[in-house]
Amino acid sequence: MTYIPRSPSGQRGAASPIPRIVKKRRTFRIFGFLGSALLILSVLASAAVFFYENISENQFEQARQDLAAAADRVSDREARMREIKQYDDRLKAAATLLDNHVAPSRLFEALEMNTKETVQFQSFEYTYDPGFDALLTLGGSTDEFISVVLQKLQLASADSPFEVALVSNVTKAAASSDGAQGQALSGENAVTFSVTGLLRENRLSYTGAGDETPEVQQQPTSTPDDLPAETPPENPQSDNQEGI
Amino acid sequence: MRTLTPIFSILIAILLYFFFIGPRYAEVKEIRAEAENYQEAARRYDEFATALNRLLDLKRQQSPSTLERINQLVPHELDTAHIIADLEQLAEGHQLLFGNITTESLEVAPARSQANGSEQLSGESTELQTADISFELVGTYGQFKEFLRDLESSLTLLEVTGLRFKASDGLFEQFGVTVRAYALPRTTN
Repeated sequence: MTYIPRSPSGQRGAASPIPRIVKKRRTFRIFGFLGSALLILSVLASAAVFFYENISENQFEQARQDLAAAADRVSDREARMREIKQYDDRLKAAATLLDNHVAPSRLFEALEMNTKETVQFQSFEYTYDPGFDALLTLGGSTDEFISVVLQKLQLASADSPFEVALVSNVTKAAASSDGAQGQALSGENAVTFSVTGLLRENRLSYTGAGDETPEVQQQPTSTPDDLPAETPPENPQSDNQEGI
Repeated sequence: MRTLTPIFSILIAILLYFFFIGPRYAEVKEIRAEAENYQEAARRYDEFATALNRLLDLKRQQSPSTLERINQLVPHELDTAHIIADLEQLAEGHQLLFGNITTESLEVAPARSQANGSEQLSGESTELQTADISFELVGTYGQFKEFLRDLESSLTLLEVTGLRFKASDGLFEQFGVTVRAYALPRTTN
């Protein structure tokens, strides 16, 4: 005897315990996916960091060697720097000294041009602090007071070597006696005076133009016997200018 | 089991990050920063070497005679004995009597440079050695002027800081002169 179950087609609407079509049910486990993804990513990241570290260490070593090589290339840098600094110091000092260098000989020429014919300057005192002002004090004598005034005006002119000049100690002494300042007086020049003033920088600055004079050597290169014979130049004596 | 596996995975990932990836990456960053510093230092060294060579070439382009003249203009040391000998020789060259020599050594900073206007050099490091040499000459006024001209143009720079004389009745007069000699600062010798 065979058992024949009731067919479902025979009974419409009745549920069958055995499904006719088997459908696979899809389920997405996000939690598992996340975990797997994170694990894979972390492993990859670990490997990447490992290799990156190796590369960076190699680069660091290379940079260190480059630095050592660069330092070797200037191993004598201290000596070179000292040489350059010395040269630079010397140039700066030379420039400064030459900027402040004055030529007092120009002063004599200027005084000769600005001394009145009736005036004699008999004492001369010049002081100069390099880079600052030059001070000149002259002791003069003349016959008349008017000459003192004229000399003062001349020294105040644009051609004068003085930037500012002060005439003082104007005295009239006895013709036969010496002045209180120890100046030698002639019997005629009875009026004595002093001139004190600051000199113009541009009248004293050394220009170096047209100088063909011998240089002072550090080591003597000639003895007095070797020097060419020179006749002393004539002292520019005039009736009125003995000292200057 | 299905729930434990993702939990373990996430836990491992987190542990990997905090105990391996994070610290290692921080170390790598430090190493790279150090490497960049070294590279920068090497580049600076090369620039420094280039600048040094350029400056040295500038100096070495000068002729030996020019360098010698500059050295004489501002020498290393103050050799007052040599300077006095040179002054004596110069005086003899102009038939002037030379004597009554006194010297005084100083170390002062040169004052302002005229080329720089009001710039004060006393604030700079160029404190030159200086020595004041005073002496007297006997001769004529014309001889003295010629001596003065030669002195002004001396290669060994001597600054006339004092002149004094009084006219006399005779042909010969006595002139008092003070000159200042310079040398490089002691620190640069």
